[in-house]
Amino acid sequence: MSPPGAEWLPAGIAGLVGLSLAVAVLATAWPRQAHRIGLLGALAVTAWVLVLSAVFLNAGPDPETAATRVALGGWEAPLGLMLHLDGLSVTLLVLTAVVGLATSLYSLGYVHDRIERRQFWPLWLWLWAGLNMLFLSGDAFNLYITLEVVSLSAVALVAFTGTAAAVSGAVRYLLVNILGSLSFLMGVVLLFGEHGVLDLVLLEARTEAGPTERMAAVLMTAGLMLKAALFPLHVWLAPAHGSAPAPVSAVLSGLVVTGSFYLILRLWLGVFAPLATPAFGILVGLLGVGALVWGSLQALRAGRLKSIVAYSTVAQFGYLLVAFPLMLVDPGTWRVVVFFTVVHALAKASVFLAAGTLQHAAGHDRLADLGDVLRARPRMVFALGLAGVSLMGLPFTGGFIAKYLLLEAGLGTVLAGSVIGVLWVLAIAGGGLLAAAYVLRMVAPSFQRGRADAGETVSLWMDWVPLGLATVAALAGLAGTLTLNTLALTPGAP
Amino acid sequence: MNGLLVLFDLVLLAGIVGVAWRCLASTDLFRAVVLFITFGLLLALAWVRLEAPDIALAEAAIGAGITGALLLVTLERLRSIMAERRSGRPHSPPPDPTGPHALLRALHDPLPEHRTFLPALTFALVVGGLLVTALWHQPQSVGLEPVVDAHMDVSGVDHPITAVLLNFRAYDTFLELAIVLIALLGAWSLGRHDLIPARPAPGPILPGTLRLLVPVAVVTGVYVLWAGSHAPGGAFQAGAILGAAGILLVLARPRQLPMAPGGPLRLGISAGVALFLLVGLYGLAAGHGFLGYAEAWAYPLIILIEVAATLSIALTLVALFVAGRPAGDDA
Amino acid sequence: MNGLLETVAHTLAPGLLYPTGGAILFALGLYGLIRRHHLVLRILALNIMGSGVFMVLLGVAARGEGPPDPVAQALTLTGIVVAVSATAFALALVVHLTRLTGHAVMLPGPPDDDAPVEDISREEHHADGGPADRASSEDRPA
Repeated sequence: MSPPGAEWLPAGIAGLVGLSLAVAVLATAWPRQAHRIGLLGALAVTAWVLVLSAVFLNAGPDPETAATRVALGGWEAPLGLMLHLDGLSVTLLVLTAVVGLATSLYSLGYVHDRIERRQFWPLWLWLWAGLNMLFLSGDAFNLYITLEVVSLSAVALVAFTGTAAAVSGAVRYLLVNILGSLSFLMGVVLLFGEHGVLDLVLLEARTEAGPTERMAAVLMTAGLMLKAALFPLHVWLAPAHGSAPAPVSAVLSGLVVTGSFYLILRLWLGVFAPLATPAFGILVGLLGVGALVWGSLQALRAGRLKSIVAYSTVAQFGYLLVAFPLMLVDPGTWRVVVFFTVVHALAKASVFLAAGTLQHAAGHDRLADLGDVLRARPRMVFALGLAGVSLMGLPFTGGFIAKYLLLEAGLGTVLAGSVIGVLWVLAIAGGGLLAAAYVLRMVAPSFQRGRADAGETVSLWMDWVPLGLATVAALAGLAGTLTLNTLALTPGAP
Repeated sequence: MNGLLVLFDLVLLAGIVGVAWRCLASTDLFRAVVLFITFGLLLALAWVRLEAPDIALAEAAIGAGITGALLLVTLERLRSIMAERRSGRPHSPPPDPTGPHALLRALHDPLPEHRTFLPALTFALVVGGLLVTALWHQPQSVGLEPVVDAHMDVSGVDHPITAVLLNFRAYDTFLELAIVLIALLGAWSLGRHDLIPARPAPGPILPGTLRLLVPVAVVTGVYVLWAGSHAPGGAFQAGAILGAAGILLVLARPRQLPMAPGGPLRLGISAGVALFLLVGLYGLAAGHGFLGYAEAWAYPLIILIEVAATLSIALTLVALFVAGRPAGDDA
Repeated sequence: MNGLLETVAHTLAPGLLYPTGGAILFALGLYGLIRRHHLVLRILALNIMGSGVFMVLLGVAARGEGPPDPVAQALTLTGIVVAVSATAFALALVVHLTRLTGHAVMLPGPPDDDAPVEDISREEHHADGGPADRASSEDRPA
């Protein structure tokens, strides 16, 4: 049997959407078997994504025409909806599959209550399907709908533990998400009113720097920044991510936030590309520096393990903003940014999963009293450390390659004669130091002398999955070239 | 230009904005909710004026009707939770330490402090001003009307909005059904459902009204569903009307809700998405594309999907009104 | 003078009047969202913002000659259903929050992120203790 060729891609894309939806619908209709359906579905979706990406890369698409567009129901744009697969979406689909599979395996051990399992799995499978659909969507209004699928299921999962902290975090998260969605939708409506189409490719061909595009860009970017918790619109993140169940925090910090950021990037590489000006770039870069400093300081101050990790997400996303002015100087930098996001998502998810295991073992996640459990569970410390090293960007990890490339781009700006470039370089280098400080804070208790107490027993899944995912994050450096080459297969982007 | 119509537009818009303002400015939540329902009904009028009868129907049934019912029952729930906490029942959690005003605060929101006034006003004015500027610069674009019109003969239905919703952009509509379902899954994940804090009104009036109203609502719902293929109407409006009938039935005997069996209930709420997805996957396998139909089969398949969607929407809306998950779902 | 009249006439066409009204509703909802603290009022404010978006969309669709754009109307219908779903879920969360904390107010300012959280992976946690068990079948005063 010969491997499927490029002609299979359209069916493969629609099939991926159909498969992820079928898994979610099945788990909803038959909650008693939801965890089994979920496990089989997670394996099937992951396999499908891997085959899809292999076919996509193997087909050796020409960079000019690399995007495969699928007309749903046979209706081409502008009448119908188009799915859209290119190097950027392939990368994020694979990332989602890896983190999604790890989270699913971990949840087998974490969500063991019979009744909670029935509520958890359908919501999680809808969230995963929503993310897949988000990365494949090529239509402005459809993006709004997929964003809503993602955010409603994510909010429900945040509220899942049902405690006051979780529910109040979820309410805040929901209101912020609705506000972000409405702002995004208003931008879509403005673009539709001006150009009369919703398809992103058609929109891109028609946009110029007019008042509609400027206002739409402001509304859509602000809405997505709210959802992605980009500084200064980040206040909701820590309570929501910090009080959710561990697998949910992993998915939120690793994938959901990345989804909104993906959309910002997608829009600014395409529809809004004519609007990017140096002054705007510097403004965004300054916000990024603010995020790096504020998030890191909060992470150094927080008393709970999961809060530290949640604040570090705010800090790490500062890099993405700092990269914005660099992209204006060297447009190719966006690929480094995506690679950084991928590594961050892997590392952050594994840190959250490890934190969940520790919390389960100790019964709490107060850092001050976590020493006993940390000393008795070297595997978790190793997972925390390995993922943390990747977050810091020490040599030979995925994080190192990403930060090295970012620094290189920053130095390029300085050499190109930009004074403010010095600030970006300092921020990237300094952010790594701050990250080192809060990562060390997390693992430090295990190196102090004291009693070792493994606490409550944990299931095998909870014991090994964090380490596995942290290893993937550390090894992601090896896939750096592959990722950057895949991303180069994104037509229209520099 | 018709001067009277312009006057009508101006008065209607002033009314809509005025009611919205009064709603957001009220300190009494009950009053705010009633004003919000009025706001929805005025919007429906505006949609009629903008030649969108489908949306007017949906706004009246869903925007004003169902949302209004949800808001009112929420206020009743908040009031009863407050009363329970204040009476200090043994099973209720300890009273709120923030003071004796907790009861008032549930249904009463004090006017906001003055220091947020100027920043909020400036921000809203800037956003509104920029929006108006952008909108006034837009061309008189024709949108997608000609494209839809050119494809109506192959859509399987005679009503352009139904053609867009269930054929040209069926994927959006599928996800819309999914969102209604996810909202319910979210509400169910919060816990079992509580008693609805309402008492059936004594006397013959309520049962008599129900005996009259519910069949009328069912007939109306079925008519609106059937009309959707050639005239304003469709699955969402019909589902909302049937859902409203269901809510009336729930309200008539809030203490004796039937014990809903878990399995059939789950099947009922997911029937719409399940059937839609099956048809979509069949389309993919048969070569019409995901969520595509063979031209000859478009009409029956669309009707089939709409019937299932109507039932699921009606059931889901009633379940959202009841809020928590039924005990049968855990069995 | 004629030019001024034309501008006024142009402004008063429904294709411009209603989008302007929609923009005002959007801004008004935003103002209410910032200023009011009770969660139910904040949800109302978000719904009013949403109605503003729909009014812009339908107004834009009614611009120009000929029948209005059916795609814009279909999108609005979808938007209304999404809004009611999000509202229903938000209200369920608000009721749950009130049951847990005794209030439904979200005050501005950073939340307390060091508050303890419950861990659903532990044995002692059980989902069955829903509010229905607690309320049992007692009648409470209406």
